[in-house]
Amino acid sequence: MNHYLPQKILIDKTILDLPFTKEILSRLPTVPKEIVEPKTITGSIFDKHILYLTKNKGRFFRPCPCTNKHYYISCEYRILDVGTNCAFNCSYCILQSYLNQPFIQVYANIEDLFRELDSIREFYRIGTGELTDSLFLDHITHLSKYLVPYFAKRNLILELKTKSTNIENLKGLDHRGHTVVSWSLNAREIAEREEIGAPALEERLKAARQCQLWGYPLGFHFDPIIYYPGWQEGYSDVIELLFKYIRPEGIAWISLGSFRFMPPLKYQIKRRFPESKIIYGEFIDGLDGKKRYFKPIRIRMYSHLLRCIRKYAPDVLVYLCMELPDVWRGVFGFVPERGKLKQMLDDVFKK
Amino acid sequence: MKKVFPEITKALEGLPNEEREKISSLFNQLNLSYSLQREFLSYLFEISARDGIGIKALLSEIKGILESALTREQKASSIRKYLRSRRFPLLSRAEEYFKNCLNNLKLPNWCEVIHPTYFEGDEYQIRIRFKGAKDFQSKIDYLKKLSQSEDWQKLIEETWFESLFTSEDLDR
Repeated sequence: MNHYLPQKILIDKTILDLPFTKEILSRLPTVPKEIVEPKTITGSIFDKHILYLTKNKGRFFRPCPCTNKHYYISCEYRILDVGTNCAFNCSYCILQSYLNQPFIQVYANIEDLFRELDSIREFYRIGTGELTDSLFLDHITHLSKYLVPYFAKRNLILELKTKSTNIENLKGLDHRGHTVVSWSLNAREIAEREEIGAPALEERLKAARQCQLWGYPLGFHFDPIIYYPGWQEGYSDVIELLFKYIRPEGIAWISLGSFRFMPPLKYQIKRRFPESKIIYGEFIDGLDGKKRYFKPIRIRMYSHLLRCIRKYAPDVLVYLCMELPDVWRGVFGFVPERGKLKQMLDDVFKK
Repeated sequence: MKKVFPEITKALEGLPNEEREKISSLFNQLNLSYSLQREFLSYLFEISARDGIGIKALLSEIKGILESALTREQKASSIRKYLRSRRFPLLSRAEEYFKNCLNNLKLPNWCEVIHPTYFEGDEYQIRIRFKGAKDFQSKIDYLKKLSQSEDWQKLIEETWFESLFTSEDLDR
């Protein structure tokens, strides 16, 4: 797997002198560079060949917009915004219709990021993989070398969520089990057809196994689960594959989430991936405005994946991402009360 | 007389002539409103893309309705129902099942039960009409009795989801 290399770097003139900017630029000596006035830049999120080093002018740390918590059960995750966009071209990616910032962006003002982290007093699970892939740029930014040792000293959990195999920088870091490295997995047919440019399943699992050998707790996210002809076998097979590579004792959590999207994404997928059939599923309007599979389909798919996982890992914490209480009941036979899912996930680290 | 609206004509541009003409002729024949033309077109395009079936073949499935003795409005309504159930087979079946179960409960006409939209969420609605406190009390008593019936409980608890959809339906 070749790591991402930009064809051009744009540098926001306001961050030119920051140490993190200089550090990143020192690793890309041959890539053409241009210093820009942030207000003047124009481009698209599909201009992935351009890396834009800029400043996060807002907050780095914020609650996950876990949809409408009134209806869908939230895990009360927290997000650390280290940049936007990603080099892979997954047809289902929500960022296509969610992001309004061009290029692949990296926020260079990491002093501000750590200042915000310093002010946190409660225990949180915090992920950098919401608006980007947590690791695909790590060979360029080396951000993991700052984040992992920092979280090791704090009563906080960092989750690095990725599809990449870019784990070299994680080797030898003092993580003290406070960093969970997570991979997004899908049925092989979906991974090959819809996750364009992302490493093959085996490559991801080899990287995960390596991280497990380095002592990192692991996470796996079956999200988005796609309802397609042959889905049962497809997901059974990937779960079997997962446990060929990974010891269940080292897994912190496995999440299940079915394909859901805001309606404008449908038109992006149709336009950019005309061969993809994933938008033709039996979607209904969810209570939060997102399109979701009709409820019996979701219950059926989750139940199947759960059964497959339980064959290999009877004790691993499996949870549903953004689901209704009656879907929880249909799959697990119980509904976590408000705050309970957060507690279940937090408790993984209190054992 | 409505016709094929310009935006719809534009959406048909990529289709082979024969399919384009057949759709235009259908829309003209049924004198569909703009929103119905969009809805029909969306069903046709999406079923075709999902199942790998040509639009011409899809249109031949509704030939029987078009050639029937129904009025134009009835034809439009039947075709809409047919295409919707073709596009959303499980949801349509659930809606139909719910409707039949309600009919079997033989609820009085002062009472209307509405399931959650698309069965998402778990809030059902019940609407009742009443005149004065005495009438209200008697209707509440009726509903209380209804709430104890097994058929009502089964319907509202959605346990029928499990039996309505077989493995064959879901494990495609």
